[in-house]
Amino acid sequence: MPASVQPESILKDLARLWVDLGQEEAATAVGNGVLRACAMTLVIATGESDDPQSLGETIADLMPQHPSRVIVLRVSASAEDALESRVFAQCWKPFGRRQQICCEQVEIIASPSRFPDLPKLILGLTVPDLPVVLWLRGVVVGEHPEFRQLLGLPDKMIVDSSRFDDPASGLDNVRMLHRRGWNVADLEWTRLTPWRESVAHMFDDQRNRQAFGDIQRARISHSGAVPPVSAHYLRAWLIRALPRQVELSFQSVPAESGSRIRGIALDGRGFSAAASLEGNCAVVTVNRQMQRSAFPAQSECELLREELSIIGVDTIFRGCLE
Amino acid sequence: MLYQMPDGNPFVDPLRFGRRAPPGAIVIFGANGDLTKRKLLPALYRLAYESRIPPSFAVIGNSRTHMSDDHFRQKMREALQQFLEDTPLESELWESFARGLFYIAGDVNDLGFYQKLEAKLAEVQQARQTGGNVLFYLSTQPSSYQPIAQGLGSARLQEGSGWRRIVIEKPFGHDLESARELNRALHCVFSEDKVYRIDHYLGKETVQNVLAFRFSNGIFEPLWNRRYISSVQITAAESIGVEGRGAYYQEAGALRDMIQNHLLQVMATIGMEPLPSFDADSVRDERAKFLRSIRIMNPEDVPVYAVAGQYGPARIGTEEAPGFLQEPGVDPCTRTDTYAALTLFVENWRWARVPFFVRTGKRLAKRVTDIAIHFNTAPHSPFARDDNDTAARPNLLIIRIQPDEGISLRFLSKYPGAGMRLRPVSMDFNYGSSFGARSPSAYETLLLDAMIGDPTLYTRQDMVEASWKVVQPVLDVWSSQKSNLPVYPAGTWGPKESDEMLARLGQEWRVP
Repeated sequence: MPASVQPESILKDLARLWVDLGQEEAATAVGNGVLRACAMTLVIATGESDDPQSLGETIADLMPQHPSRVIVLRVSASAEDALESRVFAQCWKPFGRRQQICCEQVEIIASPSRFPDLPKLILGLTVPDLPVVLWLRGVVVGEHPEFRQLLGLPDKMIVDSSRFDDPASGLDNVRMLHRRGWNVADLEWTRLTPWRESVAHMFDDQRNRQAFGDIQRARISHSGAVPPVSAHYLRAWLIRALPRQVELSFQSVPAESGSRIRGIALDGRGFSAAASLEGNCAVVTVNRQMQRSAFPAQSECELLREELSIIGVDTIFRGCLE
Repeated sequence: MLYQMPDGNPFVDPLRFGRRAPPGAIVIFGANGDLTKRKLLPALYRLAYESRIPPSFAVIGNSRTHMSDDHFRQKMREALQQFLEDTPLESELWESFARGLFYIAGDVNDLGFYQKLEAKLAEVQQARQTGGNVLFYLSTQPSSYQPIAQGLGSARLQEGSGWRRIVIEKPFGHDLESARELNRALHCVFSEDKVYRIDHYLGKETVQNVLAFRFSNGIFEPLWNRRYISSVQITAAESIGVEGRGAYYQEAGALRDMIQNHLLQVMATIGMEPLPSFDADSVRDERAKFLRSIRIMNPEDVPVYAVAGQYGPARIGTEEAPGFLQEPGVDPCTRTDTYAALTLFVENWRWARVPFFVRTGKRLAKRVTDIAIHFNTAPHSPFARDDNDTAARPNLLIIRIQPDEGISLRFLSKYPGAGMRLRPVSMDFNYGSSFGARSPSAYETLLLDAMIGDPTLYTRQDMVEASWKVVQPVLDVWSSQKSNLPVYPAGTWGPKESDEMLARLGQEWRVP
């Protein structure tokens, strides 16, 4: 490992960064100093083809809610023996406050030949006593067996199975990680939260719960030719809760683009309920009574925010994977 | 075979889903007032925006003014446009929300009105499928509380096919006797478990965080007693004056308006014993027990342990600020306190002989609410004393309620360089920087709690009466005095008498 990319040297660079930031801030007219914020170590493994700008924007948006030491691990396809690092700060000033808040970011670029060095390097860079989360963004573990050593580090691993061309492969990948005992989260499952919440709301009313046993059919509508992974998760989740006799089906509906859930319908004797999307609103109808509510934006950052707020095991997701 | 439905909703995911109210209606008395427009409607809209209230939810507004449902909806829309913060007023969502808004004009002192209200509730229940659940919210003048409770009782609206609850805004009485009388009147109609007395301070995220801080971190509990804590200071300062509320304020005063309710509840949150579980009875039992432990002052104690003041005119920056007696609507001879400070002692093993200094006031140096826990100084310092006696400075734990919500711990550190020079430094947790997520407003939290039926953050009869008992001797002595109150210039930290009160105990007010 070249001297310049040892954990020790990167930590020194980080320390120097804080001194510089403090001095810059002290030189301003206000001079309130810089507040250092850190609630976890977030390791992001990303491929060379991954758009660095969009990743940078996601990290910047994430930091105010989940301030972290971010370690971006960029996989280089280069045949050359490369291992480089640089450090910088993500800073923002909350509205109405005079003090700047900053988080640390370390970027490491590694060629495949240097992958075996990465686990030790990352281990030396994690913030002590705080959770470590690994987000595999644009990196498939199976493609880089050396990466597996990294997987032992985090308290939680986040993947996005929708990045797979084929939903079945995406689902297999997540199940494989789960079977190996890792606390894995899939952003395809996170995308379901507003849908699942809409279904739960259908049964807030005691009278609707009384009709629960009468449900006979459940239909999941999706765009795209084949059901996305999220549709399979939704199906598994519904099966866990609904009566045994319910017939569950997928329905492909035309939509502008992408493969996504478009609606859920439950019906049976004297009971019908549906949730669908209309613009930015979720429309939930239970026995002809309708309510609209905001359907939260589901940017990558929003999904990450939700996942990073849950560091422990999501037993419901685990149950659906099994 | 019949399918056996689980007791609860099998789709609920507590890890990811927010809490949600059951179907129901909320009847707001005083729906034309400021509180409804500024706080209640924005909170209800936000709850609808986040889908925390169900489709069948309904709001029935009441005031004397005649208007149609549509006119009421229009007024509420205007209120949202003016007072809704950090939530977009989206037209489709508004349409859906507005369909659940209804209005009934009527005089709450007229028993005939309650028959009409019953009919309106039946109509709304039919149209909106509210399940017969009704939350009565009293956002009126306090003088209307008893007539409303009696009126609801006369039409038997406290009973129905669903649950019935009543929410009452402060002030809950203007002294101990009137609070007891109001409780008696309420209990003639509603049992105590149906009465929700709102103290919006208890709904603040940062006040709730005090419970998390104290009871989920093992390191503080061993220090949280008279052995290690020398005093506690609770400050709720406002930089503004009475701002057009002079007429109301001169009837209340700082002691009644802030200390009797908000600050004693905050003090109870700081001083209460650890909870066996976080449920309504446990939390309220411990708060009540603490409030009952506060030593009641004798009349002769009051001049020693209580200070009142009134802000005088002053120039603040480039602005000339009027004194309280020059404010519009204020009687120029009134003795109403715009500043109040108390030294309180708690008679239990944990807090014996530890003074709790509580102060509040208008037109103070800045707007801040915080709690400062002063720890004992080190029993012996091996370091040389400097001119400022830095080595003798105590550790301070500051819990900031607003603004800049967070927690700081002040301790001494070696100043870099040769020699052993000490400097106080601060270890800071900032709520906003650690959790950038939007915090719900106190009214969102408390309204949802009332609809769900969780009274944990509401005050109970015994808590209210215990806190009135604490301030009543002070009120009695102050009302019997004829001399003018000490005057403090606007923009300062209060009258010098308040500093003297602490100095008598060898303490001084911290500058927040």
